[in-house]
Order: sequence, then structure tokens, then C-alpha cells
Amino acid sequence: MFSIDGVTWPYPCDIDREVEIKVSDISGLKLDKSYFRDVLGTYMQYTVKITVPYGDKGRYFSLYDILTEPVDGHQFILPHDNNTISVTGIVDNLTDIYVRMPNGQTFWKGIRFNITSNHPTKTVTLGEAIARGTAPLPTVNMPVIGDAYIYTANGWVANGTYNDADNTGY
Amino acid sequence: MKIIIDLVEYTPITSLDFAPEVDLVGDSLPINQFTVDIVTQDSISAGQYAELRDDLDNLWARYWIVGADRTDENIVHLSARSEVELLDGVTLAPVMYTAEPIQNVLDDTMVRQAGGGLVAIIDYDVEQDLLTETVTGFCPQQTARERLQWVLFTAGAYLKTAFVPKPTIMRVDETETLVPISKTFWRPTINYSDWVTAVRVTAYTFTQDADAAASNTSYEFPLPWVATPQTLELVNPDIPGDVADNVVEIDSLYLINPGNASAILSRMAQRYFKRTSIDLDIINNADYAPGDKLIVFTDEATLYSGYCERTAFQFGLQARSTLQLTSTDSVESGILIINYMCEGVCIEQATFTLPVSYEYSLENIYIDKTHNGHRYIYRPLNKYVTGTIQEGTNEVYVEYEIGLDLFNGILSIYAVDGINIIMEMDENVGVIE
Repeated sequence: MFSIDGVTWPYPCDIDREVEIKVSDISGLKLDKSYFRDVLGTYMQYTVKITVPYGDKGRYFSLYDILTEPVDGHQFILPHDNNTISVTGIVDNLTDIYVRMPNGQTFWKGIRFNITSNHPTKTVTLGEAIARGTAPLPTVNMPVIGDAYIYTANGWVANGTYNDADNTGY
Repeated sequence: MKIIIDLVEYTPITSLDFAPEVDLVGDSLPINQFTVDIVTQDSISAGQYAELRDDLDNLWARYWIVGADRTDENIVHLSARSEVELLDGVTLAPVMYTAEPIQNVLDDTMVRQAGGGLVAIIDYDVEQDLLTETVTGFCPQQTARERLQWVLFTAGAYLKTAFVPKPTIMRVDETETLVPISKTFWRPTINYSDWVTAVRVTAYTFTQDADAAASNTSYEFPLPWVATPQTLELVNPDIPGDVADNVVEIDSLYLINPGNASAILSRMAQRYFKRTSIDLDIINNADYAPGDKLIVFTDEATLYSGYCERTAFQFGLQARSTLQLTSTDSVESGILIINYMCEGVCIEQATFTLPVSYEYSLENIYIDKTHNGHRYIYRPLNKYVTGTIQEGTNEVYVEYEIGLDLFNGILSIYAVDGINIIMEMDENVGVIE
């Protein structure tokens, strides 16, 4: 169940969700071989498959009309964990199927569409981005999480050779 | 980023183009500018100031709007330049200076025509220690911008118009700032220019001699002044023997005199005898500006120092800039190894490459290590490790103690500053976790 522009559609539906954490064009590989990601925000994408009962043709066509309006976005309320989330997004890749039965009956079914959010559902401020960002000093040869260390009488020592991304051994 | 015009804040903005530069040797006096598209239906006119600020309200530039064109129902394309450009429209009369305080000369220069006379055009700042400088020599009829360039060149000063609220005349500063490798993009390039074999200037001594001046048909200088030129040269001591002559020469700048020629030659040598320049991209949220002297990494173990004269910005949420460093020198580096110790045992190690003589201050963070089923949280006995980098390897030891030990679900508390106990109830089972 979900709503579009304030109208709820209480029909069975499957909703797939995807997250894209967008970065700006200034992101890139740094000299210390780590990657700088200038994160702009978290954007959601959904694929919604809705089943409108056969007898509810009027509502089916209403839904189809709303979804095919040439607007730059709708206000969606979608399930999110144990709550709901409000997403402003555009509709694209809308498909459905026309069926003609042997007895001459015809109907449309299987509305399926994508929602791509126009605005991020989570953002970061410039101050937060700078505070999270870079180490206060240049670091090289810093052991990476996941490296193997063994504890000896002399303390923690690297287990074997630590190889960098370009196979430089330390 | 945002634009502020007459207290009105405009955001969002797009297509922001900002590439400020300075000329530390005085070859030119750059006019810096920014262009931007503002999303607005407001009417915006030229002839007023526009401020470029980031989301933390740091000032990036305060420039004079020279163009404001509506390109769309919702878009105004703005061009704004530093007021230095206004000096191009002012022509100043010839003047002879004899040990004139630089403040007076600048006041004479930063003017414009208005109401039949000259009025101050630019509100500007001068660094305090420059105020002891004096100006001696002759300025011909020239634009105010050219005269300002002459004055700055001979005083060893430059004009900063980015990241300041008004144009600021500053001495070239030798203080070096390190750009961390973690802010440097892959990969800086080192460029080599042709050898400059010597720098040469003509210094002028002006004396009053009515007879000699009257017989001088060139009338280059006002009566009764005559000029005695003197050529001075500094040869590049580092050039290989088979390099063709390539001399950088200034011969018609009449503010160069025997009193300042030596210092001028020195500055020119510092700039032109260094063949290498470095281009690099860094993360730069208004941390580094044109005019700064920087130490940068060109690879993980190689450092150079040099002056940033140009930088071009690209903007996302943060900002990235392409810098060009000139007057570069290689910098000796040392290795700092920090051993984090607990009860005589090394629990972790960190290694840094840093410039020799660099004064470091690093925060000692808590260390989380698991050994033989024990999860230890080690806490430092001192919050910071500090020192100065020497040549070669610098090895330091930082003492830690065990703060917490978690083993088989039992938490042993050894050394903490305080305890907060958070109890959570599982709503389905009613178990305290």
C-alpha cells in the first residue's frame, strides 16, 4: 500500500528499493591511494508492481492517468522499515499489459513503474563532510583494517608482507 | 556555495567558475573574477558588490558585478571582477617621488575621476610591515593599474583579492603550510621550464640638473630631473655550461633605484632560476589561497615547497582546486614512526613521511585490539604526541594502558573516566540485553 500525491492505493503491491549514494564530479583517487568521495546525499529508487483487482477498472485507469501525467515529480508515501517515508520523485518505465480472453473479455493489468527520487532522503552538510573527511596528517604505510597481525612476545607484528594496491610490499 | 548581493542570499547557484591568481614577482597585476548562474527571478543589476561564500559562510571573493544577464526565466548569469579592473580606466599624471611613504603613493594611485577631480576608488588594506617602505623614482603618465603594479613590484609586495573582504597589499610570506597527502589527488606533475641564465635590471638615480635637463631633447623626464641609469645583473649559479643565454630583463621601470635593485634582483632570481613548477589537484575548502607558500607531496616520499600563484576551483559539496606552484624547492623529508606501547609491548604502529623541521602534534586515539579471545580497549596516557621532525627516521613511543577487557561476555573495567550504562529491553522476549 502506498500513496501518490495524497491519495492512497490500498492494493497488493511489491516494492523493490535501491539506494544510490551520489557523489559529485570532484571525487577521485588520492595520492595515498584512498578514494575521496564528495558525497552529496542518499537517493532512493523504487520499482513498484501493483495489482488492481479486475473489477476495479475505474481505479486502474485513474492510477494510470496519474502516473502518466507529464509532471516533474509526485509526492509518494512508501513503506520504509517499520514506518513510511515521503519521497518526491519522477515516474519512469511505466508498463502494463493488455489481455484479450478467448471469450472476448479484455482488460489491462500488471502496472509496473519506477520511482526515482528528485531530492536526497539523507544529506550531509559541508561542515559534517569536512569534519568526517581527511586525516590531520599525511599517512603512508598505515596498516589497513583487515591486515593480519600476530601477537608475539614483541607485541603485534604484521603477519607476512603487507601488499599495497599496486603490489608495493612493506 | 552561495552568492550574496546587498544582504540577499542567492542559492542554488550553478556553473560557478572561479580561478584566482596572484603574481608574486610583479610581471602583471591579475584581475580576478568569478562567473556564475543564479537561480532567481529577481532583477539583478551590475555596479554593486557580489560576495561568493560557502555553506559555512567563509568568504571566497567580494567582487564588483560587471555583468548580470537574464538567460532564462529563472536564471541570471553573473560576472563579477575585482575592483582592480576599475584602475584601468584612470590615467595618472607623471610624478617624481623621493623617499615617499608607500601609503601616500598608494592613496595617489587607487583613485578615479569624478566631479572634475580624483576620488578614492578602492577601499583596500595594506599589511602593517609594508608601511615602512618608501618609493623613490619617476612614474610616467600611465594607468592607475600599471602604476600600482610598479609600486608593488619594487616593494616586494603583491595584491590579494581572493578570500579577503577588500583588496589587500601583502608582503610575500615565507611561512610554509603542509598540504597533507590525504588531501592530494593522484597524481601531481612536475614541469620544467627553460633555464634562465641571468636576471638584469636597470636602476635609475634621479638628480636635479637644470642645464643638463634642458639639453636633453627626449624630454623623457620632467625638468630639471636627469636620470643616471646603472645596469645590475645576477647570474644563475646553477646553469650547465652549454645553455644558451636567456636573460630576464627589466629596463624601463623607473622606480628601480640603487637602493632597492639588489632586493629586486634577489626576488627575480628566486622566481626565475627555479626551473620546476608543480601542478596538482587538492581538496581545498578555502584552506589554501594564491600567495601561500605550500609544502606538497608529489609522491608518497617526495616533498616540494613552492608558492601557489594560480588555482582553479571545481565545486561539489566540497571544493577541489588545481594549483600551480612556482619557485619550487625540493624539501628533505623524515620518517616518523610512532610505537603505541602497553606494558612494554608494541600494540600498534603508525608511519608518516613529513618535512624535516615540521612540528607535529598528533592525537593519540583509543586502540581496539582482540587477542586470544580478549577484546582490549587501550587508552592513551597522554592525549597528544608532539615533536619536530629530524632528518632520517624519528621513532617515538606512546604509552597506553588497558581501559576495558571483554572476555567471554564479561567486561572488566580497568581505567575509564566515567561509565554510562544503557539497558535495552527486547520488546518481544523481555530480556535485558
